[in-house]
Amino acid sequence: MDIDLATKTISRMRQTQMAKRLLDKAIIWGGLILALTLIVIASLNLWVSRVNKTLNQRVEVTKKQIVAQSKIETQQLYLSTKLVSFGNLIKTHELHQAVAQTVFSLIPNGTSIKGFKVAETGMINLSGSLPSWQLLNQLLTNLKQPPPGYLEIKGYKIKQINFSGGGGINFNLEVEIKVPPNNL
Amino acid sequence: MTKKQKLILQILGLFLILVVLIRPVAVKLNDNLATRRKLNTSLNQLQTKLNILEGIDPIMIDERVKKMEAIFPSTKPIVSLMASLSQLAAENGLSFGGVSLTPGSLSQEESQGKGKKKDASGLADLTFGFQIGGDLDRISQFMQDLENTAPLMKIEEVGLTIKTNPIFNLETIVVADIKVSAYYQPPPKTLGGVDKPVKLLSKSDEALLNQLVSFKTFPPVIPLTTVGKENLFE
Repeated sequence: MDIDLATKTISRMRQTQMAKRLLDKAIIWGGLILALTLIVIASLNLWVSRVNKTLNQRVEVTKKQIVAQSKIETQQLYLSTKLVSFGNLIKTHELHQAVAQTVFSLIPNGTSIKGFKVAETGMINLSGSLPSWQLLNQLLTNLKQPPPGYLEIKGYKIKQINFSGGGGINFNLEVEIKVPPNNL
Repeated sequence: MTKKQKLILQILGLFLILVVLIRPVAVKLNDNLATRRKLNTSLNQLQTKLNILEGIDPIMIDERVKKMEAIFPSTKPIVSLMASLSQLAAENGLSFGGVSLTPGSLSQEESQGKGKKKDASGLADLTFGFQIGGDLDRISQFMQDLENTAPLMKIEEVGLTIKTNPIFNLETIVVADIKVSAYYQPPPKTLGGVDKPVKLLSKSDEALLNQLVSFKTFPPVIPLTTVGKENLFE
């Protein structure tokens, strides 16, 4: 008959020893992994720093090259800024010219005009004097059927027509010129 | 010290290493990576800008700027305006005179209303009144030519007066009182940062630039006569 008094104790001790060894191993491995991680991160950091330094140098070189081209950049900026205003001006400019030339095309030779304002809306107040009825008739005919190549006449209103002292005829008209819609 | 305490100390030691050594290195790495991304973006933008600038023909842009300056100047175009109008009138066989100068509506608004905001782009105008005399057809032609003459002008007001020539009673002269506005805009004061992208010209901008070619420019009039007293001792 075998006497086994410490089986349980030995088994428990063995388990404790195993656990202790496992834990020691885990701590050693953990330490190693941590050290390795530290080395990897530090190396990566160094590499990225070096890359950054090179990139920084390239940025500075490129900046210097851009500064060397500053004359062209100034000219390009000048053009792009001026073209914005110029584009808007040219639109109204063309319309202004078209309105002024249309009114001018209506006026028969020998007409005195007090002075009309060229309005982009196309509403023109035309007043002046004519030496004869024939010329007045021609002016009214021109208003009904304006010469080709100019803007259309939407309508006109005779505000006043009377004789002047010297035998001439004074007139005051309100002329509405048809302005292209995209210009308004 | 019990075994349990030893174990706790070892774990704590590892944790401390993690916090004290690895964390700052990891934070710095993260910062460096962010800087790298920024630098890469910046370098790309700068390279693109440099490529654009190197792609622009310096002779062509120089010519365009000169043409633009003649048509839409940066300063008050008084001399060029007078030169153009007088020479255009002469070209059409018309008399030129009765010159009057006013600051222009845009400039007036700026000076009158202190509270009013100045045009952000700096656009200003100059109103110029003058008289031309001749026959109606030539005046009409003059007005047509004015459209394509530098500096850029806009006809504001037109008045016509019929005058009879005192020597030849049959001949009548038409005198036109014309008021034109000329525009000018100072150039941008600063270029902005180096990393600011270059504004490329659109198709409509190119079309506008092509329009500049159609504008007629006259040379500024330089007085040929000597001004001042003559040297009597020579």
